[in-house]
Amino acid sequence: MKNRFDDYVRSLDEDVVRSVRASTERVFSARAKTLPEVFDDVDHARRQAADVKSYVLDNLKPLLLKLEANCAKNGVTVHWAKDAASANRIITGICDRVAPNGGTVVKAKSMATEEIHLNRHLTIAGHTPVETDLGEFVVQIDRDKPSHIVAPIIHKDRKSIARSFEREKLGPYTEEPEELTMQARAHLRSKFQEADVGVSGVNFAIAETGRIVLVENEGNNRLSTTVPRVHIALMGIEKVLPRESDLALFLRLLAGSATGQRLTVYTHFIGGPKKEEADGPEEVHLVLLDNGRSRVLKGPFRYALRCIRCGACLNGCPVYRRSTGHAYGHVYPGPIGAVLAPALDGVPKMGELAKASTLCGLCREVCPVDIPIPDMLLKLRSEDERNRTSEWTWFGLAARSNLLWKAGLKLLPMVEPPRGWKEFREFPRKRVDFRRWWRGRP
Amino acid sequence: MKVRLMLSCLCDAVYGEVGVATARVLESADCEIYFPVAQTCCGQPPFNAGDWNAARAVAMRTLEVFDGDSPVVVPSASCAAMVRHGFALLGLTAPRQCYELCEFIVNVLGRKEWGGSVDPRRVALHRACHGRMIGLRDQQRQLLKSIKGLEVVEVGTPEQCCGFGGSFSVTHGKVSEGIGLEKLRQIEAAGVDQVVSGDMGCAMHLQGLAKRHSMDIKFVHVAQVLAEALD
Amino acid sequence: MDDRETILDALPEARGGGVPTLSVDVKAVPKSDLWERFVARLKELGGELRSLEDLAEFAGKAMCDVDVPQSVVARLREPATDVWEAKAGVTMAEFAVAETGSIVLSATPGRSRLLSLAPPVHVALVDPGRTIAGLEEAISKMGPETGVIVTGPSRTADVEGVMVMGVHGPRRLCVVPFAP
Repeated sequence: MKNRFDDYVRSLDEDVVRSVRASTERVFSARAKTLPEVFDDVDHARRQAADVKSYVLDNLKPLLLKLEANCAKNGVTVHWAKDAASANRIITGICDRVAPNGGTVVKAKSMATEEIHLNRHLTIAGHTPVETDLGEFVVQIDRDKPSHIVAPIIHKDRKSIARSFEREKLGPYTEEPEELTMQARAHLRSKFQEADVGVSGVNFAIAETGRIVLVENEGNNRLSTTVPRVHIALMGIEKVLPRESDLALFLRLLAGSATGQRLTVYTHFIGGPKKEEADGPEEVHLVLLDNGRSRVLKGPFRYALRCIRCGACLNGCPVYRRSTGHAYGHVYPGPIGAVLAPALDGVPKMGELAKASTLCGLCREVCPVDIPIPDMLLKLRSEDERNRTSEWTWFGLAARSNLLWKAGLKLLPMVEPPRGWKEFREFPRKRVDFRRWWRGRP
Repeated sequence: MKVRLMLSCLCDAVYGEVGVATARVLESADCEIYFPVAQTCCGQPPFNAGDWNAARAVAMRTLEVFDGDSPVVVPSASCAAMVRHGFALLGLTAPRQCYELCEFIVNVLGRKEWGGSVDPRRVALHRACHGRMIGLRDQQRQLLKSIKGLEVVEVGTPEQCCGFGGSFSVTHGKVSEGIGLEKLRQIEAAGVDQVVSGDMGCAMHLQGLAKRHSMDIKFVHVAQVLAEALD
Repeated sequence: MDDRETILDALPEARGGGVPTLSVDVKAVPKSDLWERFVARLKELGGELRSLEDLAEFAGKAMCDVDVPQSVVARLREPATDVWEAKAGVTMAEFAVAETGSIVLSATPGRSRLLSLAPPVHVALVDPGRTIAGLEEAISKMGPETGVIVTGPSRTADVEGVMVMGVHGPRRLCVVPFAP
C-alpha cells in the first residue's frame, strides 16, 4: 500500500527534516510560553474565538453585505469572485487598466493569492509579479512552492538561499542571514518604487466599519499597500469579523499561535484610499473570494473555515514535522490542509491527504479557533470510497461472530503482517491468552 | 464495585498478559469483574481507516455486548476514546460509563495513590494521544509515582505522538517510522530501564521498531506495573 | 447572473443569534505603571527609549512628519526631504500601548505613512500621558481612518529562524517621550 505522500518523505533529505523539525519546535515552544502569559485561560480564549467565528459562518451573508456597504462608504471598491478564474480576471483586469503595457505588481504574502495561482495569471497577462515577503521572494526566484503557511521557506537552509541570491546577482556570496536579508531589502526597494499595483491578502475585515486588517513582521505588506497607486486586497469570504471589538482577541491569538509574539510588528488598519495624506494608494479594491467556500460552508467540514492561518497545527504535527509542506501537494499543508484540500478540491482528488495523520489530536488542542481537525479527518476518510476495502468488510464480519473471531485469533500468528508494517517493524508474538487464563481461574 | 472488563482486541489477540494484569489490578481494588466473553473489538480500527460501514457494525455489536449499567473499564485510552467520542461520530449512543483503567482508579474509585513497591528502576511514561480525547491528564503518572522503587522521568517531547496511528502505520510507514525513531532516540538518551505505556498500540509499534533497529528498550503496560506493585 | 448574486445565492440564510459577548481575561493587560510597562515591553522587542537631546544623532539626515512641532524640527537642522533617502523618519504617535509595547499611528491629513516605514530609523514622539493599558482600548480609540499599530522594529526569521531586524521597515525604533 504505497502512496505519494510516503514516497515523497522517502525522497527527503534528512537535513531538511532536521531543520524543519528544529524550526517548528522553536516556534511551537514560543507559542506554549507566550499564550499562557497573555491569557488567564487560553482554552477559554480559544473557545471564545471559535464562538465568534461560528457566528460569522452562521451569518456570512448579512456580514458580507454589511462589509460591502461600509467599504463603499470608505471609498473601497468591492468585487465578488465566485472562483479562482473570476478573481484572476478581476485582478489582472485592474492591473491592465492601471498599467496597459504591463507593470510591476508587488505582492505581500497571501495564501489566497497562492490558492488562485495569481502570479501565473499576472505573468500571462504581461505583468511582473514580485513577491516581497523575504520567504516568498526566495520561493519565487527558485520557482519553488511555499512549504508552510507562515514560514514559506522552512525547508531551505542558508546555503541554498545564498546560492539563489548569488545566481540572481543580488550581491556577493554570503551565508549570513543578516547580509542575505539586506541584499533582499536593497533589491526589493526599487520594486516597491516602480510598482503600479500592490496586492495583499486580508487577515481580518471588519463588517461594522469596513476596515481591512493586515498583520506582518517585515514591513513589506505596508510598503505594498502604501507605495503603489493601487492596492488590491484578496480575501476569502470567511475572513470577515463582525466588530472592531473582536479584533484584540484574534490579534493576540494569531500572533501568539503563529510565532509566540504578543502582537505582530505591524498591525495595519486600512480605512480606504488616500484622502488628504501625503502618501498612500489612490485606489483600494477588495476582492471577496468564494472558490468553494460557500459549498464547504453547507457541509460537514464547515468548521475548517474558522481557520485564521496561524500555522500552529503544522508546527506541532508529528507528521508535518517529518514530511514538510510539499508532501501534501496542496497550497494548504499540514493538518488543516489535510481538511481544507479535500473539502475545497473534492475527496476523489485530495481525499488521500486525510490519511496523512496519526489522529493524535494535538492540532485541535493548539488551534486558536478550536477546529475539530481530527474529527473532520475521520469524516473525510469515511467519505472516501477507496477506504472501504474487503479487509475491513471481513474484519467487520469476524467482529460480529464469536466463532469467526475466535478462528481469526487462532489464525493470526500465521498471517503475514501488511507490507507497510513489516517493512519497518517486527510483529509481536502472543505469549499469554487472556481468555484461557480467565476460564481457568478458580 | 461491579465492573465489566473490556479487553481491547489488541490484548485479546496479542497482549493477554496486559488483560491478566488489568484483572488483578481491578480485583485488588475491590472490584468484582465481569468479562463479557462475546466481546470482540470496539470498532476503532475500521473507524480510523475510513470504513464506517464496518466500524458501525462492530460498534453496534460492542453496544449489545456491553449493554448495562455498571462501569466498563478498558486498559486503553484509545478504545475508551472510541466508545466515548467515536461512537457519537458514528451516530451511536455510547454506553453510560466507559473508562480507561487509570482514569477509573483515580476518578471513579477515588484512589489518589496506588502504593506498594517494585524492584528499583527508572521508567519513562509514554502517554497515548487518545487520552486527549477523554480528558486523561495525569492519572497514570500519579499512580506510578506512588509506587516505591519507581522513578518516573519525563522524556523528550512528551506531548508528541509515537507515530503509530493505527492504519497510518501501514499506509504511511516511512513517516510513522521516522516519528517513532525520534521517540526511541529520546528514550535511549534518557537511559531508562523501561517504558511504561498506557496503550499497547503505541507499545507494539515502538517495540517493533526498536527490535528492528536492535535497540534494547523494554515496554510494559501501566497495568503490569500496578500489578507488579501488588506482589 | 453576476458573481455577487451567485455567491449570495449560494450562501445559506443567516441563522441569526447575537454576536457572542466576549469575556476573555487578559493577564497581559497591566493596571498600573502604564508607561513603565510600555517601556519595558518596547525594550524587550528591541525598541529604544531616547530623549529629545538624542535626536542630534540624526541632525541633517531626518525627515519630519507635517505635525512634528517646530521645536523638534529645529533640533534636526535642515532635515532631509526625500523619504527614500532620509536616514530617519520622525512621526507623532497617537498613543502607546502598555500591554504590547506598541505605538499607534494614524494617517490624518498631511501625514506620511512612509516616514515610519521607509527610512532605516523610525523616531516616534509619544506623550507618556497618553499610554493605554490594552489592545481593546487602543483599537477602540483609533480613528476610523487608516492606521497602524507598530510593535517593535521590522523583523524576519525566514532564514533558518535567525532573527534579523530591519528587513523592509526600520531596523531601529526610537521612542521619544514628548508632552506638547
